[in-house]
Amino acid sequence: MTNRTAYSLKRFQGTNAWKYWLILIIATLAVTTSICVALQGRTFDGAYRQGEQLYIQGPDGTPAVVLALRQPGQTVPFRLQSADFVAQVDGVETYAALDRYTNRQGQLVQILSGRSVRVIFASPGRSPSETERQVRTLKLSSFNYSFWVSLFVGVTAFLIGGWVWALKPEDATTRTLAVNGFGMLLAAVSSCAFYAQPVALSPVMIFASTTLNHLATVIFGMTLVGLFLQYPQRLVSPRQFWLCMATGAPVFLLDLLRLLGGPTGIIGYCFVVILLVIALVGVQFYKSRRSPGARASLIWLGLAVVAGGGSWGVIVLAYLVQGQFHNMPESLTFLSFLLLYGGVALGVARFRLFEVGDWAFRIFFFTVAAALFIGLDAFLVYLAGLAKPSAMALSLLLIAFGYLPVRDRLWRRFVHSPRLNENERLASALDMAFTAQPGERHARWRALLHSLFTPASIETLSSDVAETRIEAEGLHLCVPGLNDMPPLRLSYPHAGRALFSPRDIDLVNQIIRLSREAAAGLQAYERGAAEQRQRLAQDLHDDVGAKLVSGLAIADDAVRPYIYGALTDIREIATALVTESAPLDRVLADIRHETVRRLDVAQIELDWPVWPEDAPFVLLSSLQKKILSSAIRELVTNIIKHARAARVSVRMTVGASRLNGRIEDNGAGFPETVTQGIWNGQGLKNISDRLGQLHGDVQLSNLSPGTVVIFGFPLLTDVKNAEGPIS
Amino acid sequence: MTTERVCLLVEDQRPNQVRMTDALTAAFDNIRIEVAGTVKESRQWLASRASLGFTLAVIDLGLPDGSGVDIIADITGSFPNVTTIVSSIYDDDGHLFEALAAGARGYLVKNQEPEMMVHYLQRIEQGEPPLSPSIALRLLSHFRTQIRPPSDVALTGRETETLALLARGLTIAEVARHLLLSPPTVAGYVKAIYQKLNISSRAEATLHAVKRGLV
Repeated sequence: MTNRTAYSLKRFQGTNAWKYWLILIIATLAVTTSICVALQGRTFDGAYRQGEQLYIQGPDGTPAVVLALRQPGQTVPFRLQSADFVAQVDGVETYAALDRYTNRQGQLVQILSGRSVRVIFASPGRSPSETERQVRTLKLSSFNYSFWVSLFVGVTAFLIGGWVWALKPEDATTRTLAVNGFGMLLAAVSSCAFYAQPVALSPVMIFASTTLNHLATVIFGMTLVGLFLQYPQRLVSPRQFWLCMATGAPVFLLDLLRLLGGPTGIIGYCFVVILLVIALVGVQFYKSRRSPGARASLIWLGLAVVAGGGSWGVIVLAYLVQGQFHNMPESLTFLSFLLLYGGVALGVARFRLFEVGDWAFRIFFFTVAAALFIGLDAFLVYLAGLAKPSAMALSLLLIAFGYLPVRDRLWRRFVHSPRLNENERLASALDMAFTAQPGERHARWRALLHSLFTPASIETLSSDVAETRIEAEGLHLCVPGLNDMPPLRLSYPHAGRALFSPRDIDLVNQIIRLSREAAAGLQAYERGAAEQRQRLAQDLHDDVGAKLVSGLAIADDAVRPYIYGALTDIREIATALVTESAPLDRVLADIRHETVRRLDVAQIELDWPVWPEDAPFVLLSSLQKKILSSAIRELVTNIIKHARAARVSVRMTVGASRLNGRIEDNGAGFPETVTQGIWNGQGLKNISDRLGQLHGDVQLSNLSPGTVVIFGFPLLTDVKNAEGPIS
Repeated sequence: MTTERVCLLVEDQRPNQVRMTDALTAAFDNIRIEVAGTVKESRQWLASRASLGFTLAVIDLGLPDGSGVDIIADITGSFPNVTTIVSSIYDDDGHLFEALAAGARGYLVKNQEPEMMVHYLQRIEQGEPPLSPSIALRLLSHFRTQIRPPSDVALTGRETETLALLARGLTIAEVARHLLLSPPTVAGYVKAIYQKLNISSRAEATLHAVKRGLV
C-alpha cells in the first residue's frame, strides 16, 4: 500500500498531474453547484417535510400538519396534497400525474414568492388555525440527509473513476470507468435540488433536474455495460462498442419525448442495464476460464455487480411491491451503486490493497443477508400482515439462525482455504528441512507452498531470485531458492480466486527463515555426529584392527580365516559408520566390484548383469547397506570355500517395496542338514539373523547340480517415495 | 634371469610391513624390498643412490611424521616411470582420491586375504590398475566439473564411457567386453584417466597457488 501511495504520488507530480487537477476541479465544481442549486429551494420558517406531509412547529411546541398555504391577500388557500411531497419524482407513475405535480409545484412557488406566507395548520385533536410565517430559501443545515448521501456517493464514484483513469490513462477500460463515474456525479448533482427537500421547486428546475438526471442515468448505464464489454476481455470491436454506446441516445430521446410509457420508464431502463451487466459478467466469466488472472478480478467484479446491482434491485422491487415506489428514498439506492462502483474500480485497477478475494465474498455474504432481511421483513409485514416491530424481530431471528450458519459454511467452503496454523507451519517447515532425499524435500516444499496458497501453477525459475517478491500486481509470487532447492514462481493463488498480497511475502519469508534455521541446525548436528562416528571408526580400526593384525602373525591356519573375516567386518562397520545412507545402485556397484574380484581370484565365472540405469531410485540406510553387503559376501565366501562351483549367477531386483536377490551356483550343493533348516555354520545363521533384523528372509535350496539362495527385505517407505511423483 | 625389481614400501606398522612384504614377494619374482617407516626416511632413501632403478612403490597414507600423499607427489615428480600404489584400509573415494590426484597409479586395500593382495599387485603390474565404483564416480564428477579444461586433461568419450561402467561395478575385462574392445585397451584408458587426473590436479593446484599469490 505504501508502494502504491508512493507510486501515485510520483504520478501526481509527473505528466499526469493535470488529470488529477482536472478531476479535483470538476469534483469541487460539482459540490459547489449542488449546494448553490439546493440553496435556491424555497421554504418558510419552521417548515419541515416528513413522509408525504409538510409540518410546522405548532404554538404549543407539538408538530402540526400544514393543510394549506395562501399568500397574504389571497382569498382561496392552496390545499396541500400528499402528492406534492413525493420523495421520488421518477416514481410518479403517469405523465398526467407528473404534469399535475409540476403544475402544483409552480403554484406553490408562486405562493412562496412573497416575503411571507399564511399557513393553515392543524395540531392533533384541534381545529385548524392559521399563522403567518416568513418565506426564505433553504439553509445548509436544513438539507435532508439524502442530499448529502447522494452527493457523497457521486463525488466518491467520480474520484475513484478519475483516480483509476489517471493511473492508467492509456487503458480504454479506465476511460470508460471515468465516464461512468462522471455519470454518477452528474446524477448526484442533478438530484440535489430534490434531495435537499424544499417546500417547492420551480417547474423549470424540475424539468432541468429530471432531464439532466435521466441523461446521467443513461450515461452511467451505457458505460457500465460498455465496461463489461471490454473488461477483463474485449468482447466486441471498438466500432461495435461505440454502436452499443450510441443506443443510449435513442433511449434518452424517447424518455425526453415521453415515449417510454411513463416517468418510471427510466427505472425500467436501469433494470435492463443491471440484467445486461449480469449477463455480460457471465459471458466474461466463461471467456476467462483459461486465464486465472482475468478471472481473479472478474470474480471480484461479478460479486460487486451482484451485490450492488442486486441490492438496488431488491430495494426497488420491495418498494414497488408495496406500491410505495414514489416514496422510495432514492439516496439509499445510490449507496448500493457505490458498492458496485467501488468493486468495479478495484477490479479494474487490480490493486493489491488487501485480500481482494476474501473481501469480495464477505461483502457478497453481507449483501445476501441484507437482501434476505429486507425481503423477509417485507414479506412478513405486507403479505403475512404482521406488525412492523415484531416482523423485524422475527426476520432478524430467522436470518440469525437460518442464514448465518449457512453463510459460515459457504465461507469455509469457498473462501477459507485450509490455512496452516503456526504450529503446523513450523512442523511442515521442519519436516521439509529434515527430509534427506533431495527429490522428496523438493516435493515437500512444493506441497507446503501449495497448501498455503493453492496456486494454479508452480514453476521452477532458472534465474536466481534474491528475495520474495510479487509480480504482475499479485498474479505471481517469486520465491527464492531454499537450501539446494531452486527458486520457484507461484501463479494465481487460491486457484485464481485471489491475488498475492504483501502478507504472503511475510509468510513465505517466515517459512524460509524457519527452514534455513532448521537446516543449519541439522547440518551442525550432522557434522557433530559425523565427527563422532569418524572417531569411532578410527578407534575401531586402529585399536581393534591393530590387535587383530598382530594376532595374524601368531595365528595358525585354522584361526587365520576368522581373523581375516573379523578384519573385513571391522572395515565394513567402520565404512558404515563413516558413510550414512547410500543409493542402492552405488551399493550394488560396490558389492559387485568386490564379488567379481574375489571370484576372479578363485577362478569362478560370474554372471551378474549390471544394475539397470532406469531402475527406481532407492536409498538404503546404512544398516540395510551393511547387511546386504555382508549377506552377499558371506554367500560368495561359502561358494568359494565349499561349493566347488565353476559358475555363479546373481540377480538383484527391486519390486513394489522390496529388494530381492537370487544367487545360484552349479557346485556340490548344500548338505541335507542345511536345506532342512539346521544351519551349523555361523555364516548362514548370521545371514538369516541379519536379514531378520530388516524383516527380511532367506531360503536355501539345492538344485541339480548346485544351490540357489533366495533372499530379500522390505524397503519400507523409501521405494514408495522414490516412485512417487517428484517434480 | 630377470633384472632385479626394486620396491619401496612405506609402512609404519610392523605387522603390516611383514604381511605386505610377504604379498610382494609372492606376487613378483626377484624383488628387493626397501622398507621405510616415516616420510623423513622415505625422502632420505629417495635422495640416496639406492633409489636408482626402482620401479614400484607401495605407500601407506597415515605416517607418524606426515602424509604418504607428499611422498607420492615427490615420486611422481622425480621418478615418472615408477608405479606408485597406495595402501589403505579403505577403498572409498574420500580416502584415496587425494593420493590418486598426487599421482598414484592404483591402490591396495590392506588386511584382506593374502591371495587377494597378490592378485591385485599382479594386476597393477600388468597394467590393470584397480578402480572401485566410488572412485570412478568421484573421477567422473571431477572431470565433469572442470571448467574449460585444456584438451590434454579432458576425458575422451571412450574414457568417460569406461569410467561410467566402472562406476556401476564392472571390471576392466567386463568393460572391454561391453565396449567390444580388448582388455589392454580399456586398461590403457584407465591409466590415461589416472594421468589426466594427476595433470589436472597439478594444474588446479598451481591455479589455486596463483590465486592466493603463492607463486
